[in-house]
Amino acid sequence: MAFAAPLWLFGLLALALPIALHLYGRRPGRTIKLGTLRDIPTTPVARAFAPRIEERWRLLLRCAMLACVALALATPLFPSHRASGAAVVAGATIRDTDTGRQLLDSLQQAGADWVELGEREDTWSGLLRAAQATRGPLAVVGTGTAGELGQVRPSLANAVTWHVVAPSSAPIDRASHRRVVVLNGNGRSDVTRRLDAAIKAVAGEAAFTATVDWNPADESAALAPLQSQDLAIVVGSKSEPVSPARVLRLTEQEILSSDLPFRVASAWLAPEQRAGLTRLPVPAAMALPRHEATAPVLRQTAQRVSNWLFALGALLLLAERLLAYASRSRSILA
Amino acid sequence: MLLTPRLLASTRDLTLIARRIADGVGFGAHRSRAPGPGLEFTQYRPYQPGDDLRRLDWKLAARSNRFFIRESERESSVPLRLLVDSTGSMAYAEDGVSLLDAARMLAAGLALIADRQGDAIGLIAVSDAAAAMVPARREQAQLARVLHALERMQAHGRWPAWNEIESAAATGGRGITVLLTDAAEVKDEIFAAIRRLAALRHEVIVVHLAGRTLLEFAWAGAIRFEELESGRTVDVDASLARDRARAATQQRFELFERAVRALGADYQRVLLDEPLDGALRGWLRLRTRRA
Repeated sequence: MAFAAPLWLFGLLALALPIALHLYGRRPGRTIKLGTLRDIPTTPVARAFAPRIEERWRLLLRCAMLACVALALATPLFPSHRASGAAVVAGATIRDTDTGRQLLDSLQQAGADWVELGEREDTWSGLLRAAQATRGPLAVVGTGTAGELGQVRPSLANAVTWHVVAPSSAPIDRASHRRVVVLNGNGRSDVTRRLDAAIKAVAGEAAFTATVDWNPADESAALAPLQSQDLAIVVGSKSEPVSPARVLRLTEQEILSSDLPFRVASAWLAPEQRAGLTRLPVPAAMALPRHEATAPVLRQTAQRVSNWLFALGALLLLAERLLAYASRSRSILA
Repeated sequence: MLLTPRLLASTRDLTLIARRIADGVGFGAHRSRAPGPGLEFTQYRPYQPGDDLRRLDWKLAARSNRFFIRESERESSVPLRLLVDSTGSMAYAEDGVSLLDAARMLAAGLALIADRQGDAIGLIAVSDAAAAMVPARREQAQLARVLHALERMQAHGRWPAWNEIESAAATGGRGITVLLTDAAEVKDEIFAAIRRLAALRHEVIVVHLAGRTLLEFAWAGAIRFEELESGRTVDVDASLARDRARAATQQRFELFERAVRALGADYQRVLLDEPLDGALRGWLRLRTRRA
């Protein structure tokens, strides 16, 4: 279960307050030593300390009320329709290849639904559609071409895995090592780590990552020795370097976003060399953070759950007061 | 100044306390059956240096120019036995003064009064442990002995079987027996002892010590009451239990008083916040009138 505002869960610490008060208040007021207990009536004895049991119930009610309010403030995100459903987002052309068909069949056998992309629909809108249907993990199966991704990326609470399927079944030439050159002017370790992971995931053993001496003022000079099949990844550059190799320019945001493997894959895979790369799972480090954002639909559901929790808390408070009133009036009657 | 137990407890000097109480009661208020020296003339004795000049017969000296001392002797000694209940229940305290403290002070005051009248004093601490007993005697150091024993007395144990009291109470002949107790009985063992004492033809005076808070049951809220001698506890909402507890206590006290009086014994209830000399004085006056 996820929470939209998990910091409010610290509100559960407030439970300690009524418990502490209960434990403190439970101690009998004082002890008086008497010569004889003969004169002390036995009937009010039971009644005098009977509220202790009712107090235990009231403590439970109080704790439950506080927990309700804390949970309501934390806004739990419940799956709107199916709790654990998984969906596959894929274009219709994926089924044209053997590997694509096998992948989709295996995913569907595993219980995943298939959300098919429309004629002009991009992957993002397909993902959004899938996310509205389920809170379970989503899988994207694509060819890794740049045109599949749309312009506006939605924020999702679902876990997304990416699969790249080559459109043709031509064998890959693993012998010819292509080079990936990363020009990283940023040097942030998390950026580098994600980038490395993405390259590993996309190119695997076929990649040969090279480091070149690099003068940030003249990126073209650094990239000149590259050949046409090589890939240069330039991080955070504003200029447009001239190079015989394909150049992928990435901003920091793009590196930290979840579709990085997709971008790397679409730049890396030349159409004639896409074959053989069937499944490219996203490394765990690259999975979307769950609390990053919620789809509007999910937020509405969460709001409804919160409101119910608030109402339940109010009911519990009412019950607690009623119980207190009942026990007091009973002791007055006695 | 009111000689309440609380005030008297500010000093630990029992002799001083006894003197304050005895002075407060007033010497001579109690007409003794055994008058002290100087009341009943018996004989003359020639004056010797060192004799108290107050006892010199001045009229005789004026007549005969010879110095004689008037000598007198008590016709009989009526021993005063102080039976102090020192069982665990006497540790019940209000405002820091326990019933045993009050009993100690009263006993000391009575002992001093009796000593001034030349009566024999005995002390028996009634408890299950070996009773700190001072046999009734007429001696110079007897008062000091009694006061010392009183000072060392502590509240512990339970009311003993009658034969343990009897051996101490029956020695030394009949006399006045003052029992200072809180009447906290398990069954009716204290009353049984009083009945036996009365049967021994002692003149029994029961001083019933009690706390005012106990008598009024002036507690409130949830309270755990613990029985001193047994350690049993009972949790009670004192506010709810007050009416019944107060009625029960007062009824028990009344029944006890009526039963004691029915035996021909004297009964005096002393509350912990009352001045001790006042309580004693009123009661001694009553006895004097009756006598």
